[in-house]
Amino acid sequence: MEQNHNFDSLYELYFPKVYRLCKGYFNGNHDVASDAAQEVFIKVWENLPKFRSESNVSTWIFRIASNTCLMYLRKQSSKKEVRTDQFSDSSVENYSQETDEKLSKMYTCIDLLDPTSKLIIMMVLEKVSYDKIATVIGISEETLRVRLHRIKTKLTKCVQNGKI
Amino acid sequence: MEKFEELQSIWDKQSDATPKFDSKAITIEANRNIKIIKIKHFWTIGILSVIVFILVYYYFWIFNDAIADRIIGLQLMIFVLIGRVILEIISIFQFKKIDFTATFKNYTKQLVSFYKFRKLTHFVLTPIIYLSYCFGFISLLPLFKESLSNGFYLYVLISGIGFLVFFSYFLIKGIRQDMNNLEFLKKID
Repeated sequence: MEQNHNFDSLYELYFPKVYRLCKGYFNGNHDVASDAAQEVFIKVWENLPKFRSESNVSTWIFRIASNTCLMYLRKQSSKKEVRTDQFSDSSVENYSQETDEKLSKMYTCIDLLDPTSKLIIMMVLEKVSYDKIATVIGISEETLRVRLHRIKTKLTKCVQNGKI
Repeated sequence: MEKFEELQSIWDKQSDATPKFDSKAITIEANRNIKIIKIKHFWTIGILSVIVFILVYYYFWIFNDAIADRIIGLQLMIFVLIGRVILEIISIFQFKKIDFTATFKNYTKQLVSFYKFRKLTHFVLTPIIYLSYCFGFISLLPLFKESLSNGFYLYVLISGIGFLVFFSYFLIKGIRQDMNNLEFLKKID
C-alpha cells in the first residue's frame, strides 16, 4: 500500500522530466520517448522495494532513465527508425513558428551530440542540479563543468549554423 | 550569436508531457511483466530440459555395441548442442546481472564487458561448436546411408543441411547485432 502511494507521487512528479529526457535522446520522437519513459517507470516500480534511501530518489530515477534510454537508443540505432522531423503536436504548442523552428533545430542538434553529452545537456535543460548530474553520469563536478561548457558552445553554434 | 540562455527559454516553453497511462496502469503492467518473466523462465528451463532428455534418450535408444564407435559423431552433436544451450543460459544470466541503477559510465562499462563476452563466444566458441556439429553430422552420414532407405537418407541429408543454413542465418544476424551494439557502446565517452 505504501509502495503504491510512493510510486504514485514519484510518477506524478518525475514522469514529465523523464519523458523530456528521453525525448532528447530520440530526436523529439514522442512515441519512442513515451514508451521509453513508461519502461523507466515499470523498472522504478519493480525496484522500488530495493531502493535504499541513502541515495537521492531523483538521482536514482535519472540513472534508471539514462540507462534505459541508452538501451532504447541502441535498439533504435540498429532499427534506424527515429526520424528528425517527428514532433508531437501535444508537446509543442501555443507559440510562434520561429520558436517552433528553433526547438526543432535544438532537437536536431542535440541528436548530433554523443550519448553522454546528450544526457548531460538534457538534464541541464531540465534544470537538474550539477551535483546530481555528476552523480548520474559518474564523473566529478569539475569534469562536468568543463564538458558542459563545450557542449553548450557546440549546441548554440549548431542551432545557428545547423551543424556541430 | 545565439546564447545558451535563449535556448533554455525556448526549451522551457514546451508544455509538460501527459503520460499515456496513469500510475495504476504502470503498476499493473509491471506486475504483468514479472509474471511473464516467471512463466518464460519456467518454459525456457522446461523446454531445454525436454530437449536434453530427448537427445540423451535417443542416444541410448540407438546405442548398441556394434555401432558404438560409429556414433561418436552423434555424441559430439549432442555435446556441442548442450554446450551452446549452456552458453546462452550464461549469457542471459550475465545480462540480467547488469545493474541498470548504476551510474551512466558504469552501466556502459558493464554493457561493454557483456558484449565483449558475447564477442568471445561468437568468434572463438561458436565456430568450434559449429564445426564440431558439422563434423559430427558428416561422420554419421555413412551410417545413415547404410541403415536407412534412400528416400529417408535423402530426407536426413537435406533437413540436416537445411537446419545448418537456418541456424547459420540466425547466428550471423545475432553476431552482427551484437557487434554493432559493441561498436556503439565503445564510442560512448
